[in-house]
Amino acid sequence: MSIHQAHLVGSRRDRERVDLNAMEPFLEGEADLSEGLGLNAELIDNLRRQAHALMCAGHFQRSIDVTLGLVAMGSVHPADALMLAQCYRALGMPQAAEQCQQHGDEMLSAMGIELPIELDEEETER
Amino acid sequence: MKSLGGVGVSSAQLRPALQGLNQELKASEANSQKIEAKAGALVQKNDALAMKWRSATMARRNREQAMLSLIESVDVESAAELQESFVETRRLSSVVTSFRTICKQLDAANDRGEDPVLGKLAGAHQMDSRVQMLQDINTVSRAIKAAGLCEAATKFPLAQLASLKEQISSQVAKLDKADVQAPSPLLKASQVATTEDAANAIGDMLGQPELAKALIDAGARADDKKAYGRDLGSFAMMLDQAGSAPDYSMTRMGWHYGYSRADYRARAHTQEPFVMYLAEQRLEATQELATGALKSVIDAKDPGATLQSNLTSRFLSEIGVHSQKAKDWKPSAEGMHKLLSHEALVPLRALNETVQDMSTARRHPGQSKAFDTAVTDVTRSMLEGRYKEWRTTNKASTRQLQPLDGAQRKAWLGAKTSKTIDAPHGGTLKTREEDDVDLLWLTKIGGPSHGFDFGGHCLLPLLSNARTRAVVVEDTKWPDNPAARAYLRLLENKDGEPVLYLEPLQRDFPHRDAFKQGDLDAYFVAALVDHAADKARQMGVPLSIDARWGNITDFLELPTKPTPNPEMVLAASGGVLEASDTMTRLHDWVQTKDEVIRPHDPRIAYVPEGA
Repeated sequence: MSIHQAHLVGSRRDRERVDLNAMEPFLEGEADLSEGLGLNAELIDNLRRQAHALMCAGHFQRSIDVTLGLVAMGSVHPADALMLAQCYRALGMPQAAEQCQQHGDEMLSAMGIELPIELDEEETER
Repeated sequence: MKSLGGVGVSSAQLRPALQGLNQELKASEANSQKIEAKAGALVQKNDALAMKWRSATMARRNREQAMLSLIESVDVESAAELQESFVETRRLSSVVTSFRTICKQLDAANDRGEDPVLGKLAGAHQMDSRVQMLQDINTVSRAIKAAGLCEAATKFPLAQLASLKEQISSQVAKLDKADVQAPSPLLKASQVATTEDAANAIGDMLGQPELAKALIDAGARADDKKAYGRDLGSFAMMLDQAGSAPDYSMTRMGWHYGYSRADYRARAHTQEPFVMYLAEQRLEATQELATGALKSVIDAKDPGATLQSNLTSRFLSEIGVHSQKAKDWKPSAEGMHKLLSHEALVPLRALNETVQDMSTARRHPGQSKAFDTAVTDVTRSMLEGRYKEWRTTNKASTRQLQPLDGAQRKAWLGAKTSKTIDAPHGGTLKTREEDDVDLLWLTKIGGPSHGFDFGGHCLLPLLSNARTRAVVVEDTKWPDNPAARAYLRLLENKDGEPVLYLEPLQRDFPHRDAFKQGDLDAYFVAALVDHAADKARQMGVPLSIDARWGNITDFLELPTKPTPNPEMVLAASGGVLEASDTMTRLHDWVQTKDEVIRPHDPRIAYVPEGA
């Protein structure tokens, strides 16, 4: 498979665009950073998938960096907190892991989402 | 302050919390109904009472009062249970109503394109918000680098990110030049030590200079002028501390608060603007009620007694304790003054208003009542001015101190030990033990995870157990609060003999930022180990130390020996939980029974002569 088929070739047009209209609401404090950068939902989802892939591959610190970037952009998903919890646990930081786990659990509960029991146990075992 | 820029908090950001509160309210209502049914069953055997009960349950006015007085005549315990459920439901209902009002206000303000309340915050926090924006941008830059070769990273608008960074940096530079005025720090007890100073401080805070003058005049009529001055000073500190306190009943336990005591003292203790936004209504109520309370002092025949009584009721309300709950308490004016001198309003409010968050379906389930009792006991003993004594004589502490003979007990509870050491940053480090109300702030040193508003449940074991001595390290270069702390614990070996167990050192985050000498930690640890070893010598008991501190014990010329696979007994905790990262791998756990602990990292022991 070529790099083009894998969609991994960089888009110069995307990287170098500057959209003043998108920036203004962010600078005024009326929009979050993802809107200020004019990002679409697909790009955010792709980044989240990459954070997950990095975690599964054992690159825990990189996964944390990507996830924190997502949060800084204003995109928060319960999975972020749970991924962070798992990464911190793997890096031997139980306090941070515990707090992230609680955050994730509270978000899931506030959104009325329940993890399947098997999945929940798997998370705990890790 | 993530990307809000101090302006656009939307109701959507608050609604997830509202959902949670609604669920709690429903659960509380269902619980109330169950308790009502149970209470109703008590009066069914007596036809007259049953009739009265039916009419009480259907009463349009004073329904709860009618039900309570009826059940109280039959069974006092059931009446107390019923009352508790009413109070909880009412509390949640008022929180939900306030939340809804705020959401509506936010929607309306956002529709108008303005937000007058938040505008005030934006003025004071504009600089913070821009700095936060810059931090967010840097975090995103790091994220894109970390993401590596993936579609999203290669398509990311890096030029736009750089342009945003440039513009915000220039705004920060302008704000820097504009010399944004910082809020005044919290009042110290010494600033309101006289009646005149206290009255003037109150007048300033409430914007009523005439009130200050009237309070001074009323003080001249007081029987005990010294007590009047002290209580007015307490009132001033209470108003001051409440003026920048989060409303924890709204914003609950979480990561949106400050990391260090200095943050709270400088009123820069909220990480997110919505915290103070949601506290705005309560603050207005505080000022209104305080004004009323102080005006009644001016008009009173006995201004001293009225001031003391009003101070008590206002303080209870400010720390989130319902007057019914405290009806048998005997708050002392000295106790309250001591608490307020130690800036305890915020930590006590946090503990009392987040107690229901300490036990949830996932976190320590089924322990709600135990947590409530622990928080109540701590709060009550502090208000009654007997906290230090309660901490060493409560049931759990009595058991914990059992292995000590009289002299050992005196040495353990005494706070005479102190060690000093000169450090390479030019300061002198000095150890001492903290065992009074200032313990409320202890876990804000090297926090945040055990802090009173991040995880108050982890603070409870420290507040409730005599087996834990808090050793703090003061730094002459860091005058406002201790620069580091550690726990020294009293455990037992398997034969029931006492053993001291030294926990890791935690250094204040701002201190770490201010002094970056890489080897400074070692000097703190040396002072700490020296202190613990002296305590062990005084008591004639062995001291267990982390083996990684072996080089420090060598430096201090303390003879130590390895203790492979140590096992020690940890007596039951009086604070529901125990929290430690070295005794077990659990971080914090329900510890209501004695248990054997096996530290997971290697330990060494210092055994003083004669031990």
